[in-house]
Amino acid sequence: MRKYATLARIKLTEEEQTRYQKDLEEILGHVTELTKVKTEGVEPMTGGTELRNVFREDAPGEKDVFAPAFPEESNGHLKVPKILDYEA
Amino acid sequence: MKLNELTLKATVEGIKKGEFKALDVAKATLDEIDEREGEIGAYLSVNKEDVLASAQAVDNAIASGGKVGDLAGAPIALKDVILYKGYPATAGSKILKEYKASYDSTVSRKLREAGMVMVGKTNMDEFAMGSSTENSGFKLTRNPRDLERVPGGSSGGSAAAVAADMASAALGSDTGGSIRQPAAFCGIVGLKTTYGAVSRYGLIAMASSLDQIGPMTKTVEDAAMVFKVIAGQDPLDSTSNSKAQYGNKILNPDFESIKKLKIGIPKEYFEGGLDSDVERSMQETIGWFKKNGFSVEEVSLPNTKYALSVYYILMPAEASTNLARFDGIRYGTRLDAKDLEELYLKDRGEGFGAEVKRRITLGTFVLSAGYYEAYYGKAQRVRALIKKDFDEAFKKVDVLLTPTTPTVPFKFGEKSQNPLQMYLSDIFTIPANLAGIPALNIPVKGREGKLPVGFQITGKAFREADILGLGMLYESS
Repeated sequence: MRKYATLARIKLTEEEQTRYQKDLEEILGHVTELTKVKTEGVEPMTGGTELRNVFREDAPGEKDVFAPAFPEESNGHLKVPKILDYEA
Repeated sequence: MKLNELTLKATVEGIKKGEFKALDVAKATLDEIDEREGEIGAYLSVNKEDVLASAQAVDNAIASGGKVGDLAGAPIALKDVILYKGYPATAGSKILKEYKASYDSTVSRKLREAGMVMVGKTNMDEFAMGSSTENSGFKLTRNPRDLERVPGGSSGGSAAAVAADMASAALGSDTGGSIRQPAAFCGIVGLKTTYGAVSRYGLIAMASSLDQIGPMTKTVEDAAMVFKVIAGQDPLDSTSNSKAQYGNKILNPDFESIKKLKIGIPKEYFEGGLDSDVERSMQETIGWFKKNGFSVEEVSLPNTKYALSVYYILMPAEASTNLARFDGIRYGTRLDAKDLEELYLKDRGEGFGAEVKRRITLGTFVLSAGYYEAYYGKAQRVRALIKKDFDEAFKKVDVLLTPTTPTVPFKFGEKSQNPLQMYLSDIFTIPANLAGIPALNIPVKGREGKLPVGFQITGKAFREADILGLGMLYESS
C-alpha cells in the first residue's frame, strides 16, 4: 500500500494506510471473478471509440490565459520549487 | 405555478412569446435558492449579479427584435466539473478550491450561445467519484424528495437543483451512472449520451474512455432540447464523433415509428437484489409498454454480471493517470515544501479526499509492472465481451428496458463506510458506459409522495432519438 501510494505521489497517514489496505483487498477480492471469464482470442477494448488518428490544425489560441490560475508565477511563467539541490 | 417551477420548454416558449421576462424567471429561481438552498445544499457557487445580468441581456435582445437562441432565458446549472470561464471549477475537491476556470468548456459556450442563464455550479462527489455526493470535499447535498436521504451521485447537486426547482435544467457528467443514478434518486430525467456525441473539452476528466456529459431535466422533452444544443463533433475533443448529428426530429419524434421500436428486457438485470419497490415499479412499467402495443421480449446479456469488476479496474486506472495533473504546481493551492517531491506528496495527500486516494492507489496498482496484464489487460478483454453482448442484443431489439438502480435512495452514512456496497449502486448503469451507448433515466409515474424510482432505456450508439422518443411517449400519456 505504501509503495503504490508513494508511486502515485500521495502521502498517507498510518491510519489511512491500514484502512485503504483493507478496502483495496476487498475490492481486489471482488474483481478476481474476472479470472473465470474465457478471453482467449478476444481483442482488448482499449478505449471508448473506434476513431483513429484524429488531426486538427495546430493553431495558436488565446495568449496568457493560464497564468492567472497558477499558484505561483513570475512574468507570466509558472514558478516551481527547486528540483536539484546543489551548491554553486 | 411559480415561474421557476416551469419546465425548460415552457420557460423558453413563455419568454419568446413575451408572456413573462427572462428576468422574472431568474428572480423566481434566485428566490427559490434563497428559500431552499440552506436545507438542500445543491450549489457550490451562485453569482446572483451575473444571473440577473444575463437574464436582462436576453430580455434586451428580445425587446430589440434580435434573434435569441433555443434555450433563451432558461436557468441552467452546471456540475462543478465543467469549466465556465471566470467561475470556480472545484470538481468537488479541496485541491481545486481556489481554482477559477481559465476558459470555457465547449458545452458552456454552446449553452451560452443558445441563451442560457447560468445559475451556478453544483455540488458533486470529489472528481465525480461516488454515488451519493457524500464524497464532496465541501458539503452534503440533501435529496429534495426526502431530506434524510442522499440525492445520489456523483452529479447529486445538479439532480437536487433541478428537483427542487432551483434550475430548470442542469448538466452532469456520467462515467458509471453519475447522471442517471442521481436522476433516479431525485425523480428527474437524466441522459447519458453516446460516447463521442458531446464534446468533453473543458470537462475535468475522470476516466476518459467512459466519461460523457449529458442533461438532467424535469422532462424528457427538456432533455432533448438541451441535448440538441450541446451535441456535435468538436475539433477540440478528438473523441467527439462526426456521427453526432441530430436534426429537429429529436425534438418532435414521429410517435407512430417510435411505437414500432422493439423493447428487450435483459433477464440478468432482474435476477435478485432488487428492492421490492423497484421490482414492483418495473413490472408496472413493462406492463405499460405492453398495454400500449409495444413488442417486448426477453434478451440476455450474459457478461453484464462482470461489468462492475471491469469498471473498478479500468476506471481507477484511467483516473490515476488523469489526476496526475493535480500536483500542486499548476492549479490551486501551493503548500510549503522543501523540494518538489515533498510538495507532490503533501499537496496530494492533503488535497485529495479518501475515495480519490483509494481509487488513485488502486489504479496505480492495477497498472503496475507485474499486475498490468492480469488486471488492466484482462478487464479490457472482458469489456470487449460486454460490448459484444449489447451488439448481439441490438440485432434482435432496438432498445433495452431495465431498472436504473437496484434500490430507492438510501440514507446518509448507510453505505459510506463500505466502498464495495456503494459501488453496487451503479450496477445497472455501468454497462452502458463500458459499451459507449446512450441511456436515459425516466421517473416511474404515479409515485407522488413516495420515494422516486427510475427506469432506464438504453439504445444503440448515436440513436438518442429512439430512447428520447420512447421517453416522450411515456411521459405524454
